[in-house]
Amino acid sequence: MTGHDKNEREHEASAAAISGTQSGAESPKGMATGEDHNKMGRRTMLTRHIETGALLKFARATGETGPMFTDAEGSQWEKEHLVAPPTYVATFCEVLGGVFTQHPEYNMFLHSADAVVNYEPIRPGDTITATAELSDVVRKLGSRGPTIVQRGMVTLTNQYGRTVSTVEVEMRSFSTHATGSGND
Amino acid sequence: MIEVRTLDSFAQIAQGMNLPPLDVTITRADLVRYAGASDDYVAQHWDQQMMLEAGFDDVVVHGWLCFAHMCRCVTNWATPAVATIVSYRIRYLRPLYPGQITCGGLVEEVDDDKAQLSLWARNMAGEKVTIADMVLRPVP
Repeated sequence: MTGHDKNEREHEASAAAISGTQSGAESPKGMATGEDHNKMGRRTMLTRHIETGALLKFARATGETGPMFTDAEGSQWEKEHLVAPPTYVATFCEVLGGVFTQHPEYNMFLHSADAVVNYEPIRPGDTITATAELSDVVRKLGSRGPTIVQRGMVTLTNQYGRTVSTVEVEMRSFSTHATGSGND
Repeated sequence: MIEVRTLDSFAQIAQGMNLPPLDVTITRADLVRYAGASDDYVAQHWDQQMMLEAGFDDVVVHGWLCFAHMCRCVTNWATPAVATIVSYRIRYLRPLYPGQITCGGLVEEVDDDKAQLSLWARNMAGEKVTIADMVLRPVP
C-alpha cells in the first residue's frame, strides 16, 4: 500500500468515524432537517485590503522564513515581491460564521476538514472579497452522540474579479456533556 | 529512497521520495500569536478550563496552524522558486494539544506538470493527528 492509499483510507475512515457509521453512508435519521435546508445557499461576504504588515505577521505566526513570505523589500526574492503564505486563506474563514449555525443543544464545535484550490497568489495591495455559502448540513448519530456536520465553501476574489482560491471547510458540532472530546 | 533536503529543480522530484521531516514545538504563546495573526479567537484554542470541563486534555491547536507547519515541511524542500502549491485536502484526525509535532510526507506520483504528495503530522505519542494530500506544479 502506498502512503497515498493509506492516506485515502484514513480520510475515508475518518469520515466514517465522524459520521459514526461503518460505511460512512448516511442513514435516514442523518438527513438534514427542513430547517437546515432553509439555510442552504445562504451567503455572507467580507472584503479586506491586504496589508504587508498583516502578511508578515501571519508568516511569523506560522514559522515561515522564506524570503517570498518575509522579505517585504523584495531584495532577496528576485522573481517577485511578497506573497501570502500558503495557508493565509484560512484568515478569511471567519466569514463562515455568517452561514454556519451554532446550535444551543451542542456545546462544542470543531473543525474537521478543509479542501483548498489556489489559482493566484494573494499579494500586498490586493483587495480580497470572501464569499461564503453553506453547502451541506448533515445530522448524524455518531460515536459522540448526535452530531451536526456543516460544510461551507468560501470563494476568494481579487480586485480584478478573478478567483484566487476556493476553500471548503467542514465543521462538526456535538455535545461533550454526553460523550467526551472529539477532533480538530 | 534518498532524501533531498532542498530541491534545485522540479525535475529532481521522484516517486517514492520522502520529504525531510520537520519537528516543531507548538507552545501556548504560538497559539496566541496565531490567533492574533489569523483573527481566530475561538475559545477552544485559549480557554483551558472550558476544554478540561468538556473532557479534552488541554486547549487544542488550531488545525490550520498544524497544517501551516506541514506546508513548511513542503516549502523547505520544494521552495517557492521550484514549485507552487496548487491544491490540498486536509483532514484533522484527532485533537492536537500544545507540544512537539513531527511533519513529513511522501511523493506519490510525479510527471513533468505536477507532483502529488501525501503529508502527515504526528503528535508526541507518534499518532497521526492530521493528514493531507497536496498537488504541486513546477514554477515556469
